[in-house]
Amino acid sequence: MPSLRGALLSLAVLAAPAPLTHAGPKTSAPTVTKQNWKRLRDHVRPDKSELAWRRIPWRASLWDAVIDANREKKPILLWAMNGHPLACT
Amino acid sequence: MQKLARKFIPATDEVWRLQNRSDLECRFFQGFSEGGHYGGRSRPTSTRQGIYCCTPAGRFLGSINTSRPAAMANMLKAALAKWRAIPQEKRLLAYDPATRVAQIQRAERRYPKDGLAVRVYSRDLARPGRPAPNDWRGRAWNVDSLWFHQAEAARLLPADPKAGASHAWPAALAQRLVCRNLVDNVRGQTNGYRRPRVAEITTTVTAVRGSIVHLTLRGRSEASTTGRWPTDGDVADMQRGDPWARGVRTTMYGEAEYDRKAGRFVRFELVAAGTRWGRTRYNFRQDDDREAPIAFAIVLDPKDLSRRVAPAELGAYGW
Repeated sequence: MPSLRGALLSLAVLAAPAPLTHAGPKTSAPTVTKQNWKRLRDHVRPDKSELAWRRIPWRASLWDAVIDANREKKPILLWAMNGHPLACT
Repeated sequence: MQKLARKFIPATDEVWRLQNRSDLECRFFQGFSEGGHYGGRSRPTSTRQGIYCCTPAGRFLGSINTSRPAAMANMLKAALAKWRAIPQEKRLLAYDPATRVAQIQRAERRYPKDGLAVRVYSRDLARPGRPAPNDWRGRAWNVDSLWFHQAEAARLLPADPKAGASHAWPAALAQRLVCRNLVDNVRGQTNGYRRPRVAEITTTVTAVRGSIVHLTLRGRSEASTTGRWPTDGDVADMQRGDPWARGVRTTMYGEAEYDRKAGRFVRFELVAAGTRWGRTRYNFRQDDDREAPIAFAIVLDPKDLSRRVAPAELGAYGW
C-alpha cells in the first residue's frame, strides 16, 4: 500500500498500532483450492487496523466536499493522489 | 490529530483528472493547487499529489506531501489559522454547489447500481527463505474496483441454473478481471494487459434454494507483456538495456450466491493466487522483479461504498 495511506492513518488515532508484519501462507505460488481459498482470502483482505484511516468520513470526490463544506461552513481537507486513494493508487 | 481533522470536511480524489481536465471540479482544484507544495513544478514529474486545505470558495489555505504526522499537524494548524483570518463572507461560495453537479464529468457516473461492483484486493504472499522487507513494502496491499452491468453479471452463471450445471464466463468478462485487475499493483498502480494468454473462469451451480442460486467459481489466468518503463524516476531508464517482461499467472477458486428474484449477486468471493514477475513505473519492484507469489481477493461488500469509486481502467471496458 502506498505510504501516504499510512500517513493518513495518523489522522484516525488508532487504539492499537498496526502490526509490523502480516503473516501469510508459507507457500510459494499456491494453487487455489476449496481447502485453502478462505485462508488466502483472509490473508489478502486488509484487517481492521489497516483500514483505520477509513474511519475518517472521506468524501469520495472534491466536489462532494465543497458541497458539504459550504453547507457546514468548514474548510476542506483534500487528499489527492495519482490513483484514487479509495481505490488503486 | 483527530481533533484537528474534525475541523475540516475531508475528501479524497484522483489528482491527474483534477489537474488536467476542465470541468467545474477540476477548475476548482486548479484554482488553488498552484499555491501549494508542487506549484509550478514539472520535474521529475508534474504531479500535484498531496494533502491540501482550502476554503469552500476555493482559496488556498495550506498543503504538504509528507508521511510525517507532526508535519501534517503543523500544516493543518496553519491552515486553520488562515481560515480564521478570512472574513466569513469570503470563505464560502455565493451559490449552492449542489446545484452545479451536472457540470462535473466523473467516471463514477457510470457506476452500475443494479449490477455487480466488487473490490479486488492484492497482496504479496510469504516466500520461504526470504523475509518480507521490514518497512511499508512488507505490509503493502492495494485495492481497485471491478464493475459489471446487471446484464453482464447475469452472464456469469448459467441462464437456467440447476444444481450441477456449469457455465464458462464470456471471454470479454473473464478478460476484464484478468487484464484489468489481476495485475501486480501491490506496491503501486500499474497498467493492465491488452489481452490475456489464459482467462478461463467457470461457474458451477451447487444448489438452488428458493430464489438463491449457490455457486462455486473456478478459473485460471495468465497475462504478460514486455516493455520499458522508467522505474527509477528517470525517463532515461527506459533507454537502458533490453525490454523486460512482466506478468501474472494464477489459479482461482471461490463461492457466490445470486438472487434470481432481485437479479443480482448477494455474495461474491473469489480468490486468485499464483506468480507475478517483472516491474513497471510505479509498482516499486525495482529490487524484487523475479518470480514471486501474489494473491488477489475479489469480494462483494455491499456496506463498502468505496466500491462506487471507478475502476482504474474503466476506460478499457468499452462502456
